[in-house]
Amino acid sequence: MKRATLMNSSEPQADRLQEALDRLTAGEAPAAVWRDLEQGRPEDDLAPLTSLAARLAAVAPATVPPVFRANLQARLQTELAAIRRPRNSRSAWRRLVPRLAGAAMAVVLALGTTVAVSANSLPGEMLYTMKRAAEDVRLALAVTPRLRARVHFDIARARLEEVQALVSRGVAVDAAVIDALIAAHEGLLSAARGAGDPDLMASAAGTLSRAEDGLAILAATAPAGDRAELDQAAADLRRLAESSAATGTSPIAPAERPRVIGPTPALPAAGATDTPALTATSPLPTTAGASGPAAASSPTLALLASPYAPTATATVPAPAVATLPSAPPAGRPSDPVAPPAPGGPVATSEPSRVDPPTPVNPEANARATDLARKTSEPEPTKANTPRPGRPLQPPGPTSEPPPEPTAGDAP
Amino acid sequence: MNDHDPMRTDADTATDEHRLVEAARQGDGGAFGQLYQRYVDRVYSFVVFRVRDRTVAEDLTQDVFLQVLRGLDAFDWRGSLAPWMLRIARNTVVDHWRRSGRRAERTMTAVEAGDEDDEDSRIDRMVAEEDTGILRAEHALDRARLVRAAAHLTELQQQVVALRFASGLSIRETADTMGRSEGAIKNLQHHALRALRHQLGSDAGEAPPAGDVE
Repeated sequence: MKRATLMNSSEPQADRLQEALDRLTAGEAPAAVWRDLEQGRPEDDLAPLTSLAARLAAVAPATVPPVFRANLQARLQTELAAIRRPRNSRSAWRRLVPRLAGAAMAVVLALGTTVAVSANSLPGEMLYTMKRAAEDVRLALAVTPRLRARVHFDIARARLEEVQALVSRGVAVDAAVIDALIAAHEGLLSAARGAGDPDLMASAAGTLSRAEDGLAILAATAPAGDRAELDQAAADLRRLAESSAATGTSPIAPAERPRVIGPTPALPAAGATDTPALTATSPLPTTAGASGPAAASSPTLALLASPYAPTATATVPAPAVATLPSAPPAGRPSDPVAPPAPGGPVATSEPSRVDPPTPVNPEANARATDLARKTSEPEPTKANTPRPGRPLQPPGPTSEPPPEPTAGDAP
Repeated sequence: MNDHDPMRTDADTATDEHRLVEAARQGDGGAFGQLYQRYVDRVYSFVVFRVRDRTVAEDLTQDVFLQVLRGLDAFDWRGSLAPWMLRIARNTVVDHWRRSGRRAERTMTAVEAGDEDDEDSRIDRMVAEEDTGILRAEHALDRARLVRAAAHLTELQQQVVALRFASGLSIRETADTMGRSEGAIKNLQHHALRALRHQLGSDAGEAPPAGDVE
């Protein structure tokens, strides 16, 4: 008998038994299966054996005790972090996650609360890249313009909160951080516009306004070194809002926005070299671009307004030009009749196009693209034939053997 | 197991799994975590069925996953993670028996080992500590009875029963895990069930009449 079990070819009863199990697994009614089994030789006892198998399948699977499950997972994550190096990683953000503090990181990963924990991260902190990656994932998953706008709202708010937190901790505000904040608000405007909903647009404008106010307040109390940047950022936001409101076209693409971080460089014909007071108080018209004499005393503003101006001059735009709703203030040789491009070349993106994270953040772009690629790339499907003998479900909640003449006793 | 979703095909699961394995190989902790969640119960089920002791089963389960972690690089994807993982589990159990002085091919009856009472109380403890909210009480008792009876099977028969019914592997996967043909597995399964039925009948104090499981 023992030799027979090791033979490669199966005995006929063994086949019939497995076949019965397959049928039960496939969901066939047990009564039919038993009936067929009983057609055979009674001494084969295939029906009770099948029933026993079903019973085993029902009760034998165990679950790991929860505490053990969690502890083991944490231990494994620590091991994983210790022995494996992320390599050939197509995702830029993963490279940036520092490999360290195995225990803390591993516990966080194991508990699956990484994203939640990282939500309070600030630029420069360990989990910050994870936070940004999580945002990218959200963006990638937002399939409608409305949903995208929603995510952009959250992202814009997060950027502002980060700057506020950094300043309150006395951390110097990095140009990249400000850039990210501006970009996030640009993204918000773009997305709100893309959703085509006036309410969303109004909310977006409100968000920008609040951010601008927040930055101005921060600037007032920030150390001198940061003040210029913060005011600059506030000014950028205001300009964004204005251009967006006035023309409905896309804001300046970030690549074209000159960043002036730190002490304002001396400009030809520059008037005041300090921007702060000016930007906070200059009575800019609601139309886009700086028009009118106010622009002249703000060299940086003029610079911003017309990055492509032949000379970074603060020359006052001619009043005639200024009357055009949103003509570029400085002597831009472009067409006054062209659709107004507020303060600069027409942005390349169109209002209706809803883009993934803005180009100023190539990392984020790469992440989103990676994710999209990963979710869409076709995996070779293994030619797995339908598996016979999948875990059986017993015929009913309690696996009573149907052929049992006296079905009084539950197994 | 398809995560209990009847709409998922085996092909979907295999694709997902392949992706997870690749990511885990590159150090993605989240991917490894998912694989862990998918397999920890199946590995544990196999081990606890075989060793009939929860504490030992936990230790051995940990061993298995550490080996999986370290061996992931060398692992050859062939459609499923299950056979490889359960093979590690099977070998880990065999090593355990060797370390504790029991030869693999012997029938592992509690009486032969001379500690029947200990074994029973271990099983009872194991059952009692289960979350019976999940497992209905009668299932828990039934499991205890089945596990106890299975101890009287041969080593190979116990392996087949554990792989097929505790871990839920298919005939194909079981054959891969044990390095035998599907025909041999079916034979083993047949004889294992027959022997188990006989044992249950003996446990119940009477020879099983025809058509009677208990």
